Amino acid sequence: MPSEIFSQIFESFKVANVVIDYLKHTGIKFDRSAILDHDNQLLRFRYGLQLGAKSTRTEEFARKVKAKLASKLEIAAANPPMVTTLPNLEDVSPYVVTSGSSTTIDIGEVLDKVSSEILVIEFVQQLTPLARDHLFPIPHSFRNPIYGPNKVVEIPVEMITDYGSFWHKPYDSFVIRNVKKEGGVHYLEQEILQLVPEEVKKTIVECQGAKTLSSQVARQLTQIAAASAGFRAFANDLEIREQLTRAVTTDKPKNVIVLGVRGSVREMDIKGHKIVIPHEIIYTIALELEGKELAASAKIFMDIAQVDEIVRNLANKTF
Amino acid sequence: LAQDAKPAPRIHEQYISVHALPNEPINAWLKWDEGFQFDNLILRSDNDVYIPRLTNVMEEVWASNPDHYGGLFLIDSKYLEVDGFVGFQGHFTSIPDSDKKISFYIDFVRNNERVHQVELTTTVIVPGMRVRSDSDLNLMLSEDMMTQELSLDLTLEKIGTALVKDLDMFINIHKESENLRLDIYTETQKEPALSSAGVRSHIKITGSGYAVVKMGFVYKDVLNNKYRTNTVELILTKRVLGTAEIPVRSRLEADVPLIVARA
Repeated sequence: MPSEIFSQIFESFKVANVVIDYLKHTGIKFDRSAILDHDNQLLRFRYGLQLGAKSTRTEEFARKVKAKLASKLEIAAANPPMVTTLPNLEDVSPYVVTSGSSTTIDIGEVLDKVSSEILVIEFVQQLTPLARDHLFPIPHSFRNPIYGPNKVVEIPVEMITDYGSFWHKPYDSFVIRNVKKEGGVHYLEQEILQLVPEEVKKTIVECQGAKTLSSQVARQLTQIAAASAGFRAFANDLEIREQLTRAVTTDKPKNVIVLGVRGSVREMDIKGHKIVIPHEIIYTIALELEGKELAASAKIFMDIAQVDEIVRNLANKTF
Repeated sequence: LAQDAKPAPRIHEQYISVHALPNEPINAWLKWDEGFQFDNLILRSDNDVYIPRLTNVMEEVWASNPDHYGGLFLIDSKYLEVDGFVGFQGHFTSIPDSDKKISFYIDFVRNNERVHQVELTTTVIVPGMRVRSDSDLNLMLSEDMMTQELSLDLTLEKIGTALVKDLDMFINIHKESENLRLDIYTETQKEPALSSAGVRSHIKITGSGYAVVKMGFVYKDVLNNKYRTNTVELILTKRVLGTAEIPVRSRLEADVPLIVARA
């Protein structure tokens, strides 16, 4: 790893690691988790300190903790951390002081004053896109989907993480979410001919094979080209987008969320006539890895029979 | 017997991409029980592979394995970033004639002895196509044939799984006698796939004599890897003067649609 990227990743985790070292030193039990929002590169660290209810919190425990606290907890984050208590949301602001990009938290005072069981400290770090892409490379989906039986297209998706030493051991839970990816499946040209009315199909096939067009066939082709503008709804119509979205599913809803599906069209040139035809079915998905998963695979299924039905209905309206 | 048994790791998950085009990333990973003691992992493949990335290993592994094309990596267990996990990305760098299975092996080594091996197999898919002629390829053009409608029919047979893109016919004049002239007119087929059959080219023959013509197709996969079919050879003999024209038609023979639009 180039040292520049290493130092970017290291910096992103440095403050969080300082917090972990500090809390370990206090002897207070705590859980720690992190969530990376892949889309905006925000890395959110969360610590839950088990203080115990004040009624059961022994003086001995508080004394031991305070004896270890040579200084207050300092968090050097650009955005001030969110500090709160659970189950009661008590006012801890007197023990939290922010100055510039540094916040200090007086854990000893918190122990003395709050009655809640858990102290929650949360703060965010902004990763650079470069650091994000090294920690969690953009997932791979295959350029060549497989057209399987029953007209279902199968698109494998793979997610794999890297540099686990930064996060796998230090955190109880590490979630990577909102990994957006767009992909497309070509609507096969041969299929379209099967979905348009018979006379339209006949004219197109005749035209493709012919060296020259008779005036009657040329007229028919002009009419087909004009009418084919109706296929633009495949890309623009909101209801069709919803129908297309229903045609896309996944085998791992835990890892893959289908955000939306839309169509695209293109112009096909037949003997100088531009005919609009459905071109691609474009899906947008958000991927997620939970609970310290280092890698995951999933499949996206596109039901082309459903898409055919959408195109057939549209063709009947169009021509 | 129990004493001879080599302790093996308990593999939780082994994964490799189900398929990939030539030069397309193949992802793979292995998860096993944390705490399993071994000295090294050996990652190897007997095929033409390029391994540009190992995941969750330390920088030292790259330093000790500088050849990423050799199909061999030695990974010291102390350089794994996460106990019980290793991943890699490989590319198959050749273009096979048809779909081809390739394997990667991960060996767990302890005290210079392999204690366990995991085989990860995937398929490199190609849009393999084969061409054959349904017409007589030894064409003698005589007086009476000049009045008949001639044509040459080629059939394209799909022998690979991957999608085909930018399918184009080529016709090369291999040999031509002095008094025979061949002109090839290829139709600008912007939409070669919309109907699976169509006239691709015309061969215009002027004069008399003989010629050998080779025909086939070039095409790409969706990653723009280039392919070429076999060729069929047409032997033309024309004994009469005048001009003849032979349209060359092609037909795709496939159970499922396999051709995508031009990009």
